[in-house]
Amino acid sequence: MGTIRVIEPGMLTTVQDLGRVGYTANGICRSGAADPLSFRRGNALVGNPHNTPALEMTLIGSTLLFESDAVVALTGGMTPGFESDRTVRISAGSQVRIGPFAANARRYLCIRGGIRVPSVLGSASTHLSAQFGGFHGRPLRTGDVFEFGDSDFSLTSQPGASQSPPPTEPRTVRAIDGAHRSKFDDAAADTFWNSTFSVSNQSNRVGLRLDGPMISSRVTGRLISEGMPPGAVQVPENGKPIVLGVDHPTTGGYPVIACVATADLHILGQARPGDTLRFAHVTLDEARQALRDRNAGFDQGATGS
Amino acid sequence: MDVQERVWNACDQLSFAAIPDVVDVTPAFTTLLVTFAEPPDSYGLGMDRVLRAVLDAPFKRQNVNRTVEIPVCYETEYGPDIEVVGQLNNMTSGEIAKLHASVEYTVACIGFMPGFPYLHGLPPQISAPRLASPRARVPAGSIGIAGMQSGIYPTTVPGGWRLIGRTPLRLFDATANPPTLLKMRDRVNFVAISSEQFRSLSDRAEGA
Repeated sequence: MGTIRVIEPGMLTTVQDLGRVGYTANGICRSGAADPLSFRRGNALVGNPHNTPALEMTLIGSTLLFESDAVVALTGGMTPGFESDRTVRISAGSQVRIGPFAANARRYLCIRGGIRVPSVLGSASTHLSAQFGGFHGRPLRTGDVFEFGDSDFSLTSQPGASQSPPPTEPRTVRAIDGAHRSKFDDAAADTFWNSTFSVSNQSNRVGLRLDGPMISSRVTGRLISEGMPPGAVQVPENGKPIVLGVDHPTTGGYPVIACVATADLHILGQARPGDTLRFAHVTLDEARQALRDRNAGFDQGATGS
Repeated sequence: MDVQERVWNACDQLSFAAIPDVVDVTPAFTTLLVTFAEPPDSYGLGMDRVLRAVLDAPFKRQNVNRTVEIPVCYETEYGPDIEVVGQLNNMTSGEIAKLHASVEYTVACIGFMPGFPYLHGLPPQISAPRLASPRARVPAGSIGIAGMQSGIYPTTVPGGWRLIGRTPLRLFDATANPPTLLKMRDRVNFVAISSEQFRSLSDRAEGA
């Protein structure tokens, strides 16, 4: 087992895995890596099973003191001061500074053997608002020391998803009509599908708030609350869409004009304030096929949990 | 059978059937959201038909209705909006508290955040609109009203519902099994307590 000391945590650094399922009826959202593709690739690079707990860093990365030898991989995009998308050996005593990031919102630091945190309700992911899971239910702070390695699984080597191309503007995500499409007239829907939005700085893991043309619905006030999936595009009364992220409320009462395909949720996870975003209208069948195509990349020859 | 009852039953049926590709079911008031594994292997087999078969099969509910008693302190210290809710409804704070605790509620669903119960049954005479601007910090245990909806905030978060009281009970504990005090279909009775009782019950809850 090894340890790592946090010198500077960065803006928001949390322990995540691929999320917590089975508890939405208790009001508990999935959480987990906002960009699950980069997360999986990082674990694959260090030989971990794909759901092994790792660090998610946001906009400004962390400065870490490795108190033990480690094998790590940093994924999610180009990063000053650290070679990303490669397996890197780090010697005990090294201080590593990661970031700030010029493009893409998040990085994943995967460590061979995984970060050792207890599984809470079946996951190592940090639930920020209810303060459980991950490292004591909270983001890392200066002075924290966390443990890694010595997991009870044997190290395997498995392919990750191929490296995602650098972001191009606008970021485009595929989406299907939402459950409340009928609450919007065709002009509002046309505006939605044909506009380029800008990600506001009020965005986080709960959701991306978008600036752009106003999208008006026929709803005054709210609808009766319904279960919401990540990727749901809600339109509140001010006409500014909110795309739900991995830490979304499990139910919501704003009309949903569209829902982003699961295959493209990782793109939302990398969008940062100021980035531009468009929605490409697809059918449910096309969205399902996109998921099969995406998964074909990392299911091929995958082993481990 | 009303829509809410059908949602509950469908939720029970799908949960009980434990279809491998169904990883989550999210009941609400009139809808049930079903979340599939990625990718669901049974797409090829017609997931719609799989769900339909489960929902159409005869099903006998396993569980019985529970009634949960929830102590609430309605004093202004714990229910900062109770006086305004009274003014909006031409009542005193005492009348609001009495009316609120006089009826039995039903948990429609747990949603929004971990352990938050949406309750059916608020007497219409004590409804009140949301705050124009949400509070930055609603203390855990706060009993809130928004229009005809009412609920209980399990953890301290920002929120826009009017607060008429607070319970010392913990509605959410990630280390407990189940993690939430309430579940859909539970009956809830509120029982008024004094601020002294609130503090002593809170101490006990903290020590637990």
